[in-house]
Amino acid sequence: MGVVNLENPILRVTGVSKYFGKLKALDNVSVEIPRGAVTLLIGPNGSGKTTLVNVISGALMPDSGTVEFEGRDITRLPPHERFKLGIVRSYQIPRLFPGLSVLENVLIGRDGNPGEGMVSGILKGRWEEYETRATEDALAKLKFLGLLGVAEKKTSELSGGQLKLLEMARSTMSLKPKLILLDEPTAGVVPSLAHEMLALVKKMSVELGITFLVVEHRLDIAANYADYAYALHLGSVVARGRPKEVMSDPKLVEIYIGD
Amino acid sequence: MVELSALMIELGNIITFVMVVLALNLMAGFAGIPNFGMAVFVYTGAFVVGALSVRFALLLLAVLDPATLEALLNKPSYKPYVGDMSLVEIILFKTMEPTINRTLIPELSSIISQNLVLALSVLIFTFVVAVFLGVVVGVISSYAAVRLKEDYLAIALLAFSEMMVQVFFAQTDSLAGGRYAIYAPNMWPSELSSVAAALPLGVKPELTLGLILAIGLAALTYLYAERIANSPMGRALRAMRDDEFVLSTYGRDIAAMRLRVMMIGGALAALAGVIYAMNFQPVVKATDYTRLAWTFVPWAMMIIGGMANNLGVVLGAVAIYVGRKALEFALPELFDALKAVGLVTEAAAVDVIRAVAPNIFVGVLILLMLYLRPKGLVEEMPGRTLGDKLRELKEKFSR
Repeated sequence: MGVVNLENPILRVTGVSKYFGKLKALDNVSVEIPRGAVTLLIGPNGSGKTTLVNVISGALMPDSGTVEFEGRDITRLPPHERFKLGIVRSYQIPRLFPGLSVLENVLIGRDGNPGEGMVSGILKGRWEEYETRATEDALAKLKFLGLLGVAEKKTSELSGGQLKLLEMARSTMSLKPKLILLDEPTAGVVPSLAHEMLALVKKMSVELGITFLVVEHRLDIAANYADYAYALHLGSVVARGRPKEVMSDPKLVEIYIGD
Repeated sequence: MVELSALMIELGNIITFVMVVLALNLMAGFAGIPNFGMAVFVYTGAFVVGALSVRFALLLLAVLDPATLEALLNKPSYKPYVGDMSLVEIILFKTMEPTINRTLIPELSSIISQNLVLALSVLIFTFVVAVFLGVVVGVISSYAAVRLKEDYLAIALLAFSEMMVQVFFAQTDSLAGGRYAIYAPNMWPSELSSVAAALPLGVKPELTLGLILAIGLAALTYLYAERIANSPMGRALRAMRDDEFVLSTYGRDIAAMRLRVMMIGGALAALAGVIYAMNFQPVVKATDYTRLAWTFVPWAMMIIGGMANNLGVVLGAVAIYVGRKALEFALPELFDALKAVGLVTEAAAVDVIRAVAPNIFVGVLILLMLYLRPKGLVEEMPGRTLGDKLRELKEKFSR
């Protein structure tokens, strides 16, 4: 386990509340995401995990509270601006582009392509090299995740587990990611591959210094690869600390086993 | 026997539709912007030809050859309309008056053809201004495109187009003739016409030149659209169409992308309007640029051809145009035959059926295609950004 430094968190969520009508999805939630570490976000269904990810990625605006990224208030920043700061996310229910091939879906994860213009698009000399490198990276990721064989298929031909892997591949394509939000990346994936995926997450975090916030249900697998954990229940943080400590926290045990 | 010039005009019409459909395909097929306002983009080009190029030519003539201009506009027969207006006032406000326009344009046309500088200036002016105005209309449309969801946007663009063409321009006689026909001037210098006249075609040389220009522009448009389709931009546009929110979380500015594609698509559609009005339908009338002819028919061509596939939509344009024309030609003969055996007696019914049959044909074809081949004649393909190099890369990684 790496040393978790909470002194200078990369992301600080302070007092965030979010209501859906009368439903309190997040109730005065404050979390700090330690820099360069893998942080788990756990909790039963409906505890507000995905809502928190949505608030951090900009998909939802909180009703109150602030989100600070590297000391900058990003509470009202639109999603594409947050991506430019280095915040990337994946989706719990895969949201892929159905009209694009598997490889094209992954390539969308790499922004800054000089060929993405109505004029520069026709000047192949300007973007061929960038595109080649991006394609090589994408193919390497697809190979690692066992998707190379379906690279040129449409996403409609993939299984649910393969779609999750594709989400993972796409969300790790960014050139300078700082914070990657993975929403249940291993749901529907066979355990052996789930281990490999989380090991890759850990490796990217250690070697590239990328911070991960991973929403997980499979605590048994995930705890081995994480440095820190938050547990949510009914929109509030009920426990925080090292993953093993949080998992054995009596409150959490009661939430999962009780009722 | 059909005359060659009639065939050439039909070919020109097909080429106009090909350009319109390629532009629409960029905006709707690739980028997912439901542009139900195509008519206003096409009319913009025709408006430049019929209304702006004439005024530009006359103003330029005021500088180049004031005496000729004086002779052209200072006619006793114009007096009841222009009173004691100055020449500039006449140029700006009275040249679209039907009575004046009818005699002015043929005279102006022969002056333009005899003056190389004037002719080239008018040609360049027409194309540059049409592109510019197409871009402007694109920007205005994208203002709505950024803010509205798909269904509302489709209705808003339809309403915008109808409001501009069928209400504003059709009711403002002094701008571009309104409900009255105005005529497109000739823009070809005699130097070029005489070259075309040397061809043993037996048609007006201007028509030959216009067709060559149209084919060239359509080919360039196709090449451009294909390049975009097989570029990172084509991929990003298709991704925006599929899920603009997810694309925005991957760092793309959706508003900026929509703006750019509407600008380019608008310019291309306006260019189509220019070649159409300049060469193949030189009688420009706002009320002719209907949503049926220039929005719904291009949409049908795109849907039947295959959205987000350039080859497909070109095939769709050709198939629908030829199909509609064939019906128009074949129906009278069919009815004559039916009449001969006493099955049809009402002459009025024949006219009605003739008028609606081509549209029924398109409607039935759309339904059949959506039922049997929902992806169109040629379906969407992944962009080939790297061409055959992708296979090499894949082989490298398969090892």
